[in-house]
Amino acid sequence: MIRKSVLAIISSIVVLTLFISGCSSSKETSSSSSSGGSSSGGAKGKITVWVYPFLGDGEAEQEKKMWDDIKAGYAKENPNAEVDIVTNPWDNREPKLLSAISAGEGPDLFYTNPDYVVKFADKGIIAPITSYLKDFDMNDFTESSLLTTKYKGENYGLPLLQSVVTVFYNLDMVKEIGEDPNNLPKTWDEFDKWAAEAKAKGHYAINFEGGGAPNIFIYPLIWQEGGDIIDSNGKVVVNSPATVAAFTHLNKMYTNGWIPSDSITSKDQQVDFRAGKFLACISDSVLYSKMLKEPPSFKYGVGELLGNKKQVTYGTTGSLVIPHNAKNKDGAVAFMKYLTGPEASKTFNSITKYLPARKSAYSIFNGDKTMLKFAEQSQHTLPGILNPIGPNVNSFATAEVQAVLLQKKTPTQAASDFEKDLEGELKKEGQ
Amino acid sequence: MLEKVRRQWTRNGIVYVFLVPVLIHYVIFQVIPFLFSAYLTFTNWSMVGTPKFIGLRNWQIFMSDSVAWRAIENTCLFSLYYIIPTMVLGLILGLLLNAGLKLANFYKAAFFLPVVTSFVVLSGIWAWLFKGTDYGLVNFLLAKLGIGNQLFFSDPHQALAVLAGLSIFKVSGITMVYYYSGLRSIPSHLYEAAKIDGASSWNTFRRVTFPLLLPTHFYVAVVTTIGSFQIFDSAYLLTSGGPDHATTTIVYYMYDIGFRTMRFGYASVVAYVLFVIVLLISLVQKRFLGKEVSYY
Repeated sequence: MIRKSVLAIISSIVVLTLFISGCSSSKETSSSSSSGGSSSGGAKGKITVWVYPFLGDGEAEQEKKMWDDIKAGYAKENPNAEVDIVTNPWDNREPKLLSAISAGEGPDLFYTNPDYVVKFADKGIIAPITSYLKDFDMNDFTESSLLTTKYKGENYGLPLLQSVVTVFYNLDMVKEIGEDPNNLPKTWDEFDKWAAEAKAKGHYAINFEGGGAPNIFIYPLIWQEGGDIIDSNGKVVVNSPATVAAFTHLNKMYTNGWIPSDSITSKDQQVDFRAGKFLACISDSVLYSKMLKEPPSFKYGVGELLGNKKQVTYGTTGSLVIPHNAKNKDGAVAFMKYLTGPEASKTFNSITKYLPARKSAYSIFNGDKTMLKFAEQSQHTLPGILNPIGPNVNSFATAEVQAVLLQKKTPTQAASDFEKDLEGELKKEGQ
Repeated sequence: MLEKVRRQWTRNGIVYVFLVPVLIHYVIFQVIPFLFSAYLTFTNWSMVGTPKFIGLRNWQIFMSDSVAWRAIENTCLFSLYYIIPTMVLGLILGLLLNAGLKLANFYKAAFFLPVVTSFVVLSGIWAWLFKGTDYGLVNFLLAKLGIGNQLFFSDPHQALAVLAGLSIFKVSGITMVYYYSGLRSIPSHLYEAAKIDGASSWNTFRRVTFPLLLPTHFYVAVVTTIGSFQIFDSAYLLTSGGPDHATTTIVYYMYDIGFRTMRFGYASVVAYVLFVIVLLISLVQKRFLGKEVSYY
């Protein structure tokens, strides 16, 4: 009996010890990291920065070297500061961020896109940094890039990069259909003629990734017809002749076979463009980077922005923002200013092939006609829907367009239903 | 009473001691989140700050949310496509393995391989197989048979079935193992007795094998049902819930509401509805499949 009790006591101590050690955090507590701040010798303390792969598959080594060089440059100016840059996958980034920030385990600084800057700012997930920018020169940033870092009069981040969604052409196929590669279409009406010619030769005209980002494939079509989704006053304006025209045109491209039959849910048709199956491809500098690394078997070029009423396209601005509960806000701001500064900006953007948000950094593309073309087109970009329900809109846009392509709704019905969906979302958001 | 407790402790004390960590883990990671989620259904919360109490508003929204009801319908339809074929295929594979075929170990490993393969990898393969143009392998083979191009993921009538096919492919290896174990546990003298009585193979299967596998049927049915109602990965990776919400499942919708719109209160309502549905189905399955069968 006594032996059993002793055994029970010893066993319980062992089991509880194992349990407690398994549950305890393995992170070191770092009092120095919470006392970050600029001193006369620069920033101090440790910060964690979450970014995402900016280069393609197989270029992780080059990207790591880029970050190491940037960190080394920062360390020279701020010897008491330590930066840990963590590269996370693009997929599922918002859930991972939200969970980490909510648990107090988030980064001190992270990269995000325009619609999420607004959403996070509205929900109080990121902190305003206006007070940190009083003596910081903002004049070198492009106007369009700064637009996306502000919400209700406060600055919430600094822009790191911009991109332009444009139209790439298979110039060999342009010649094959009897058209002039030096005279690429400027409107959708002009493009449609080429599309019919490409189809007649057994090719697809252009990509449409119905399962992809509406920012790239749906909203620009509406803007190019002179319309919008939610205006700057927060009013839903999507139920308009422009939206009906955009949906009608898209349906025409689908029923004529100018875009593949699986475009309704397709997420990646760029690989088919690179395989020579498309006359044109809607994409950004990511495709350009891939084609520089693995040149396709055909000559390619960047065309004009297509638009019947307005030559406009989607252009993201990637920004750096700080969580509301960052452990080292001062250190995060210091690194944010450095990374978006002229020198680091040149390093980052010359390697990633994104457009710099700083005008002075554009010199890195002297000699690269394609990047200079992107820079020129970036003056005609819109950053998506800058409203707290911006990310919410995407699934409704996708569903309505899919219903049109499936012939379940007319473009007019889809535009009307889209408006009802968004008004419902605005009501729910207002609770 | 105290004497009874003292005797229990003396006899089983060490068992209770080892149960304590498990109980603590269960309370912290199951019970507390379950109760917190119930509370969240009456709030508006974006994971930051304090949840704001809004009463029954989330539940009212759910009642008129056509996408939510579509998600429930899709999930039930997915279950129909998924549960029976998974069980039947698992049973057939289990029977084949139990029949003493040559290279049985090789087949065991081959059929089990999809179970241990990442869903992301399998989804990539499925996306290529069922590409909705003539570049997809299945469409290429169908063209050889004179059948026209199928849209698969882009067809609202086919997309859910194709996703179910992926899940069946992934999970049949596990159900094969369950049925194989169940078959091995059937006493051989029952088969000998059936043989002596002159029973045919089909009658032996119908009167001996199938009924004695009832506990396995019940377990496989419950596990595959729960799995079917949790379907998310394939909808997220392959169709994003489309086309036109045709593959939006309850869990996908819950994820979408929670992490895209940051309305975790409403997402908790969807989670609770899922819980109630799975609980009811499990109780029905217990009622009809949870009986013991014995020939002793």
